[in-house]
Amino acid sequence: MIKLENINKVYRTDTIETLALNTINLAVAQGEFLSIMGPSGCGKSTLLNIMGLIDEPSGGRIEVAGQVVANYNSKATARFRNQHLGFIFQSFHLINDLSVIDNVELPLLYRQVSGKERRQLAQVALEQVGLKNRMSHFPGQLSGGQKQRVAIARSIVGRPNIILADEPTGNLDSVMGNEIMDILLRLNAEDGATIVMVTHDESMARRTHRLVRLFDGSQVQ
Amino acid sequence: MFSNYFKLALKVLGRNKFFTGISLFGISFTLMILMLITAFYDTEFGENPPLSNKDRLVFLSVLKMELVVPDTTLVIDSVAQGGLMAYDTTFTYGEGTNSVSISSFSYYVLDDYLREPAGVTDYSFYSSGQHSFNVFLDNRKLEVGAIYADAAYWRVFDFNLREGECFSADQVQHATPVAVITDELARQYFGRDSGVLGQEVELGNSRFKVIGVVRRSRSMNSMVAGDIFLPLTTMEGRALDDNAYQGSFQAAYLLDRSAAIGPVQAELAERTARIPLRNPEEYNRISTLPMSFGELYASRLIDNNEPQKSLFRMRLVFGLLLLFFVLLPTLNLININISRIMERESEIGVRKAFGAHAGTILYQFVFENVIITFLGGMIGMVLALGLLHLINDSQVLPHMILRFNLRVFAYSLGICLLFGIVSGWVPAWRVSRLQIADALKSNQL
Ligand SMILES: Nc1ncnc2c1ncn2[C@@H]1O[C@H](COP(=O)(O)OP(=O)(O)OP(=O)(O)O)[C@@H](O)[C@H]1O
Ligand SMILES: [Mg+2]
Repeated sequence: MIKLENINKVYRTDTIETLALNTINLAVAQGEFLSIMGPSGCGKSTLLNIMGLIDEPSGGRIEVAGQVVANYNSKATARFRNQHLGFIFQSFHLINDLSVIDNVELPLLYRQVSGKERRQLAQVALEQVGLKNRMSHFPGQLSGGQKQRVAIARSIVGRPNIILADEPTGNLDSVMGNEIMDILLRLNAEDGATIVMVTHDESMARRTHRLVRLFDGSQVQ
Repeated sequence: MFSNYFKLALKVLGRNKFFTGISLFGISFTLMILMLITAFYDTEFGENPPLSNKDRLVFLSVLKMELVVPDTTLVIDSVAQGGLMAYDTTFTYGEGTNSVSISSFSYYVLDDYLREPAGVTDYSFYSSGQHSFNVFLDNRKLEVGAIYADAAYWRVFDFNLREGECFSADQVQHATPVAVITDELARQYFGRDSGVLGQEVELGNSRFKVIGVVRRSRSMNSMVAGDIFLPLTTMEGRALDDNAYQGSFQAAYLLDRSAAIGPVQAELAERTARIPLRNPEEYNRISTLPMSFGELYASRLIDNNEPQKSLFRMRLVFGLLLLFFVLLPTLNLININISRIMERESEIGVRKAFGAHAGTILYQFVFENVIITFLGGMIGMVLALGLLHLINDSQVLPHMILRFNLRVFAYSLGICLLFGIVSGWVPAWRVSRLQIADALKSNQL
């Protein structure tokens, strides 16, 4: 489903050059639930962003869902993200000015879907994360766990075949974190979604199919 | 999609009340000023009755008489050359003006020398701006401005005739004591603005029978801004028989539709310069500057002697004023918008991550901005309407009625749209180019 070949990522600032990723070769199979671990600053987020086509590698080749990506700013790439990828961010990234349901509908705005259908799909997604009764709330009125569940609903509303989650439980206590983990496992098992998750929590990582460890931009396991 | 943007735009407006306040204030205030300026411009320069033909008019307003004498200076330089003195003399030829007289034309000069230039359909001689009568009506004093005119006046200036008729060439020739009055004077004098035909108006020692009522000119231009119009033959004193060169008359020439203004101006200037002078010891040069409407207006405002330069200067000032009033707030808005939109970097990152294209983001922000400016525009329009009303009511500009017309409304709407697009486009364009990963790193949501 995702194939990375010799991926490098270099960040250049005025003074220093950081090698965030060093020759990463990685393949994620369809339906796989992969977790990535490693110390802070080792390049986990960078790797995930590159898999999700929201960051450009400095070198190497990427294939996602059978497509090799060339131009990251093109309309076609935007549509590809919309169709195939769903993101869950560590800090939620909900739009505070929009209600919960409007936030969840967001990916569908960039597709040919009628307003009525959008609403229905968003309701189904919210139901899946157990938040149907909070539809018209605003993000500011929700707890951290609830926000992350809204973010999950948003990532699955467009039925993408790949979900990329960057520390989805990082800001939550263990009870809340386990609940989120249950939802992700269910999405993987029941809907066949391919999931890549960055985590700091060994117990979460152990519940996934495979664990990849990074250290200083290189894959060590 | 649009309903979603609309919702978001309103939310964003509500969220940052300070920004919204400043923006709306800036936009509405600017637009209000613009609307006032355009309303003023339209009243004074628009093609409205009685000056619908203003672009085809040439005016003779000022007759200049000078006594010019040759003025020669002799300079003698002495130089020592080999023990001898050499003298070097230089003559400078010039002229000096001993006396100048500037005034309007006498009827005699216009009548004898300045009729029917080529390329002119119609022309009128009139005396305006200096005949003011005090009329006492049941303890009220009324100041009435009169314009003395010929019959052609009504063809050169297209007044709106409310009732009756204008005086004819025959009535002018026979000095029939008839008058055309404005609706405003009718209201003040008779207490009603219609059904006053056949009534009499008393001015000085004469009585005039009202034969027509016209709508008062909304413009302040003296050639049309009168309260009562009388046949020029009824003028008191011997104004018409006097054979002095200068007097109180002016002339307006209505050009043929195909005629250029330049040659007509040239012919009138040349004919004036050739008028024989009876007493060269007093004045030996006579001249005039025939002017277009704009030149006449500007020369009165700025410089009598250089109408063309004055017009240019007036347009420059007007243009700079407009530019200033549009550009400054636009730049300011762009600036505010940049910071406002930059604040939403991570929203942009999220939208792009979920499939929004740079163009879509651009449209979203421009759309938002257009909504804001339209809101501001609406407020500005209400303010402008109020202010126009106030100005008209208080008579700050006497007799000038500024009207909020459809043309002004259309200009303003156009300005709103331009404002919204320009002030939204620049920041939106910058922000739509952001790399997604970078945008998401600014954790501002
Ligand atoms: N925009 C950037 N410019 C310069 N350096 C960057 C940039 N983004 C990331 N880096 C550097 O790249 C390296 C990898 O960063 P990354 O965010 O992938 O780490 P991470 O493993 O996700 O860490 P954490 O667990 O704290 O989230 C770090 O050393 C970081 O300082
Ligand atoms: Mg990270």
